[in-house]
Amino acid sequence: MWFVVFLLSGISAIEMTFELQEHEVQCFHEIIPKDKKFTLEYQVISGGHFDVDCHLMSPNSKVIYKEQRKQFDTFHHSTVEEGEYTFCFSNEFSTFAHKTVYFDLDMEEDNKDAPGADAGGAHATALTQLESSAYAIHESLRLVVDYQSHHRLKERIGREVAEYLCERVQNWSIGQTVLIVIVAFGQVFMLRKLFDKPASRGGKVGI
Amino acid sequence: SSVCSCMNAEFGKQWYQRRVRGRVGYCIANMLELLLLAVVVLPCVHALTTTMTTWETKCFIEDVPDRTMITYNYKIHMFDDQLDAYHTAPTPDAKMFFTISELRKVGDGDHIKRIQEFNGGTGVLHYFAEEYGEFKFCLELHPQKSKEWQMTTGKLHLVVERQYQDDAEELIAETQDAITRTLQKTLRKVKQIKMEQRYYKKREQEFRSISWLTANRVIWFGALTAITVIACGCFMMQNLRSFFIAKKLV
Repeated sequence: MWFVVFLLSGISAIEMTFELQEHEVQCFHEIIPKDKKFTLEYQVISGGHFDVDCHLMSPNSKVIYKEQRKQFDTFHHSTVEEGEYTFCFSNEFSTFAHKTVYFDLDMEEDNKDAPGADAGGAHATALTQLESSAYAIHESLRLVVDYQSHHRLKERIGREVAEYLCERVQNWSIGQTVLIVIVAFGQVFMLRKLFDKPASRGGKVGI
Repeated sequence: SSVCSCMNAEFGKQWYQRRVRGRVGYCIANMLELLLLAVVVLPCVHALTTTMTTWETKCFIEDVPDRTMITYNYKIHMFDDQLDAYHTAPTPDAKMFFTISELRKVGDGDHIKRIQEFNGGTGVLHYFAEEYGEFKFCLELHPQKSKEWQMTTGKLHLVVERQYQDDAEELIAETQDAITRTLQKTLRKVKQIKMEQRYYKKREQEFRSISWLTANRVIWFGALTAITVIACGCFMMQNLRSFFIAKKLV
């Protein structure tokens, strides 16, 4: 039982990278309790102009957030009602570009692990300096993990462009070389053909 | 929970930790000391819910460091026309196809590593990534046996777990002391950050080598093209000159 509790207390963030085909809408649902703060963050990693539409709906189908053709964005919200929240990503405006989108839904963690709220004991301990330092370190590390994933995404986008560039340089150079050789031979051949007719042209050529 | 049983039952002996006495220094005589026979430290669990129609494919991309165990635990609840609602339990005759492919380089195409079929509305897929990289996990919903020609929708509950294998063995003791718990959570996060940083360092090195390769290619292919132009020019001049001289035009 402890094991499950320990494991479940770690599920306070959902982060996934998924593929979105052209003209497609993908929706994700999440049941969020009342009076919780959550943050939805998304970024387009590859495809087309790197933009996507996103909208977020509350349990009674009210649109809380709606943005068109954004590359990345962050949205904070405090829930007023409990229920199933839906957020959707849409690539309907694109005709042939399939996109890869990363999203991160981060919910405020349960306070049962905060110092001063003992699970077993009935008394609430005052926050000693040590306890508050430990808590502060933990919170800072959450921020570090967050920045690290931003960094990872930007590196990923950069690397894909670099790989694509590398391939392209090679292919186009070879293509260009071949084209030059073809054009040269072609010109020589055409010119020779012009002079191949015998003097029946009528004395204009030659002396 | 299904994740719990998955971790304890499905992994081999090498994943189990030995019991280690605590050195944190807090008195735990009266409390339940549950030393977890926990497998590998640092599980990262993400749960999400989405809808799928028959024959639809959903693909997720996992960007993981080396020696990571990725687990996909899915449950699909199909829509029942008679009840006009989704089933509350996983539909037994739903079929799901999993495809795992590795994306290494752009233009190389996807290298398909594994294809697995699941029957029964629920299933667990494990994949151990020895090398670091990006892996695409695709789920395809096939029609149910009872409704071969119908297009139905289903609600998919997916629990994705990524476990990084770490070298050091670590004490994981559940105490009721808040500060110990916080410190242990902090330590775990630090390890996770360290592991990911190592991976990013490798990735960045790869990136740099690609850039160097591009720079070299630009120089060499540029030189090749220039030489080709000059050579073709010379060839043309020489050929045409000898041709015109032979034809007595000059």
